[in-house]
Amino acid sequence: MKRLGITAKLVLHSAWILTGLGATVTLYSVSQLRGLLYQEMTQRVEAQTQNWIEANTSQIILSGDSQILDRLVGELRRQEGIAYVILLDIDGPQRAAIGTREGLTEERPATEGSDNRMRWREMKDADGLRYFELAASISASGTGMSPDLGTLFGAAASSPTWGEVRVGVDRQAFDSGGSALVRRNVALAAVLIFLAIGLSFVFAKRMVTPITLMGRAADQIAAGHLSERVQQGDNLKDEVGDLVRNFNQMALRLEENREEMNLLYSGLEEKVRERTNELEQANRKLKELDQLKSDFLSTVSHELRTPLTSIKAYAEILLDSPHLEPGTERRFLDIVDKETDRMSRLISDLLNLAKIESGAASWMMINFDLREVVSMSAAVLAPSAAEKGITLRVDVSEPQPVWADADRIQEVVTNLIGNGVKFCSHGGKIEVRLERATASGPDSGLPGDFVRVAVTDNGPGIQPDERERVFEKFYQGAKNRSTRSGSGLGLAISREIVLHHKGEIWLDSEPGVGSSFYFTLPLQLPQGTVQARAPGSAGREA
Amino acid sequence: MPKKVLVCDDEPYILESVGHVVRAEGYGVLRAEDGDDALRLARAELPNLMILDISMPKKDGHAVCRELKSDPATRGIYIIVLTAKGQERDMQESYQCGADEYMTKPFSPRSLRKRLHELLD
Repeated sequence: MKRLGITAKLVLHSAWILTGLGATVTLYSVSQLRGLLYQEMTQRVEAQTQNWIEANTSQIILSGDSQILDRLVGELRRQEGIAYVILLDIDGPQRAAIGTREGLTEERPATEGSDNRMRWREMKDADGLRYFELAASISASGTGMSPDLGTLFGAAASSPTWGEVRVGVDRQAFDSGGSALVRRNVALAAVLIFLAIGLSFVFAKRMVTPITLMGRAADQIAAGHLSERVQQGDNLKDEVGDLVRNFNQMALRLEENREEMNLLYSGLEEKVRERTNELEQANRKLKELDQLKSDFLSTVSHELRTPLTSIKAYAEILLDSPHLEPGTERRFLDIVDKETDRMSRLISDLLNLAKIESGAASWMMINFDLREVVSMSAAVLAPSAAEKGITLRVDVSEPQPVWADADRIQEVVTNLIGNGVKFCSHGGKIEVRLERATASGPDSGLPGDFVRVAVTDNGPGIQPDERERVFEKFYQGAKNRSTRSGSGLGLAISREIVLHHKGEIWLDSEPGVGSSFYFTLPLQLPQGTVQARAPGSAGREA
Repeated sequence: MPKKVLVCDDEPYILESVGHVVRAEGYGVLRAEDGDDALRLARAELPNLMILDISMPKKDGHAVCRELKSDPATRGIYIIVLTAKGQERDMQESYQCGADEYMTKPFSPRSLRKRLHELLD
């Protein structure tokens, strides 16, 4: 079954109502009209008849001449709408007639006319044609005749009713006139009804269109097109207008919410991406660390195998060669001894570094004057410097109080001076200076009061690309390797120690001219009278 | 004319110990302390055997190996890699570079002596 839209329903309903009402009103008005027409017709015919009677009573009564009577009824018949006229006297005989029909019979009995001398009845002739018939009595009284004359005609006066006149009105003519009127009325009503239905269609359409549009917009919105709005009806000042405005408001809110959600969503995506990146980076870093560890292990293994190889080789050679020259034998034993030392130094340096790096090292922090430690290191290395003809000068003037692990700081200073001694050629110069500084160094450059230790030599210098690498574990320049003395860990350990004290270590160098190694320690100015204590006088601190 | 053995190592003590073993067996010894030296001597002297370290300055043992094995003039030199790098992938890399034999440090002079005789006599 086909679905009926609201417009169709509204139009259909109003059509029903309009048709019903229109038909009722039309029928009512037609019946009223017919009544009026009938009334008008009866009044007219009655008046005509009355006038005719009044004008002609005397002649009718006095004249027995049928010619005169024929003429008189002929006059009456000529009046509008009158089909026949019959004149009868009181006794019944017909005196004159005109236009009479064959076989006239009474169809509906008489009803009283407008006065008691007149009666209306309905007639039918032999052909089936129908008539309204007015019977009006004719009497001397009530005529225009003077009473004298009445007295004069005593006979007449004594019998006031002379007879009656019957006037027939053609009912077909009357009815057809009424039918035309009814047709016009019905046609007008029909036109008006159609007009009303048309108008109701227009109104319904105007009311319903926004609702239809709203339905379509709702479909669009449901399909995801949130920018859809109802374009029609939002200016209506009624419930539909309210509905349209509320609908559009709702759609706007939906759209805004969606946009907000999208924004949030994209923000979320961005966050997830960022987090993923972070995790990936962390993962990469972990992998790098893992790789570093594995590289370190393989380097350590390599570094340990090297002295071990010499020890094993020379020991076996010594065992298998009973006839070696005494000098050679001694030399080989010496190599075994040196390589054993190198190996044990390597192992202790590795353990030391591992301890510091893992945080397991204990630090014996004390207040002391850095000058003492520097002087001690210089004193330890003085013999080997002198052996190589190297001048070692220590420039210390004012006290440099620091809070540090004195043994480890001495390790750093010894390492730096020792490197100088190692790399300077005969006749070289090494100078150690202690100065105040206002920042930790070139890397982080933390402001504050620092003591800076500078160890300057006029050795071969370090190439720019090697300046950072010299602090790496096991990094040894070509020259260093051939000297076979270091573990390759000295500067790496020194850096760990200095960093632990919140200082910095770095170097300046010009190849061919020399190198300067620097490190800083925070200055610990004595509060009141803090005495510089000798290293080892305080307990170890974790 | 004695067979010549080129010994290449940047560790002087190891260089000396290997050299001693080779010389004690009556072969001629050539010594190189870095990769460039090793290549130069190998091309100039065309030794019968090479004992080659991998971690060396200037040019590492693998590069030396590749260059010698890709040159028809030096392809015939028998190369024993002697290295402290003892991992599986190090060994595979050495063989890929054309090394004939792979020995890890610490090595046994006794075994080396035996191999020298097997290869050169």
